Amino acid sequence: MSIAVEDNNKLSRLTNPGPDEQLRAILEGSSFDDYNSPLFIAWQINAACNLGCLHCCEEAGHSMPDEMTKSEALDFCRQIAELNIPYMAISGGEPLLCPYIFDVCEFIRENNISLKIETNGEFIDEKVARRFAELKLRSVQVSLDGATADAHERLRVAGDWKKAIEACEHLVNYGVNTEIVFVPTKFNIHEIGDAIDMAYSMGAYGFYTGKTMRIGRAAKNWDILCPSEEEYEKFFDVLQKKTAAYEGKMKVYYYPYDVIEELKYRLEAPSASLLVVPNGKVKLIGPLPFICGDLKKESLSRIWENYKKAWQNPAVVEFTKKVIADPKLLAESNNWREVNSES
Amino acid sequence: MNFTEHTKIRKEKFGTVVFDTLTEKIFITDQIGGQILQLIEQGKDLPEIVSTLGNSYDGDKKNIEKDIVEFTEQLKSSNIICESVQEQV
Amino acid sequence: MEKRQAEINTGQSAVSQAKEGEVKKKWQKPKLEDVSGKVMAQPYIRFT
Repeated sequence: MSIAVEDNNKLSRLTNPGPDEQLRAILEGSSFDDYNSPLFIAWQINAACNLGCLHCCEEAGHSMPDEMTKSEALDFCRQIAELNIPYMAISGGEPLLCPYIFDVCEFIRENNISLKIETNGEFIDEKVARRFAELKLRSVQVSLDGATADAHERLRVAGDWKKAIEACEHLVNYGVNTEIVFVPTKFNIHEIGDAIDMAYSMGAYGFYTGKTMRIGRAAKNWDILCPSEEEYEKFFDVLQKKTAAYEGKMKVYYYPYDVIEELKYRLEAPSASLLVVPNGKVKLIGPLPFICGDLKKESLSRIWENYKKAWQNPAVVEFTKKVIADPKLLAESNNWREVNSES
Repeated sequence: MNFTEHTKIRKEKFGTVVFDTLTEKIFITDQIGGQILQLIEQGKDLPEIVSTLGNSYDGDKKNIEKDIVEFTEQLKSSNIICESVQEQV
Repeated sequence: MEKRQAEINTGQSAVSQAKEGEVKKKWQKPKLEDVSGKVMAQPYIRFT
């Protein structure tokens, strides 16, 4: 693999790609409920996936019976544009298995909304990479869970490491901002240093990782997946060194908090974002089971208002505190319930 | 004057927020700044903006013009507006 | 149809000129502040 030296100007185009201490410094005089509409939409566009990853937060792998139609999806996009929401990320399942993914991408980009696609990369050939390049996406994030096929494929059941690598190569060749995300587990955590080096050699501009979230299939497989404290200590030590080593060349970004820390923070300061799942329902946040709206029945604007109130709902607050006290309850994250129902 | 195509502008309770979705920079401006942005969005040129706000506010007309020009220069240097479509990044 | 390059979600009517006789607000120099470091657009990364 050839060494690709990133243009520093290109790297500096983008600000911090994820949450960190800066989250704590919320804009003076504003909080999430000061916003008339969300700043960011995270959209799980489908539940279908060709893989059966052991750590999948969404427990993806099969379509839901009531997923949004193309018409419903494009109506949702229209509302995003009308509300002037500036940022969006689409994931799944595997979003490239969604039959109307490019219709959605084109609409979003025609409305100058910044768009990131999160994918396993296995359906990105030259043609798709070129198409992504033409859309001028903010970035494409490819999941790469190992510097070796063995580590990657042990975790990403039915996955093909080589295809993910080739996807990155195609994307970089076509000038698409390519990010790599790495989920640490017992199987692969020792490869973190090599994985970062590999990402740089492929020309990725960003490498992201953090503590694995104990939700979805990860929660179900926690005993076999969760790295030890010692393993995490070494992991973050490597990350610190690599961040410094790649300063100005590639963003090495890691989220140092686990999902429980995130929940504690979000209870005080919910994000100005909405998480939409494949059937059009809207969750408060990934680790919690609460649904605050349904795009098939309500406007996005109405759902945003629901979202703001939902974080104050006693049932939500109480359940969140229970989860914080007992992280095993994170296994409930995909047992969705309306926010008004009793916990 | 036009907004660059990657710019999104939203009026919120605490001010008008300008999103440069290309660089992911975010700017905030005050009430008068928000009004200038609104007038640009309506297709007003600089003399019209100076005239409108000069008649709406109490202040030295020359100072008002100077401040508006400075503000629009800042919008240009921040890539929020450009003079014409051809100048867009 | 000319596409709009940006929209302002003002919720307000257009700026109107002060009517003759009305007390005008005092002019204040408008400020534009870069708050990129304070406002997070993408609030989280999901690790799957």
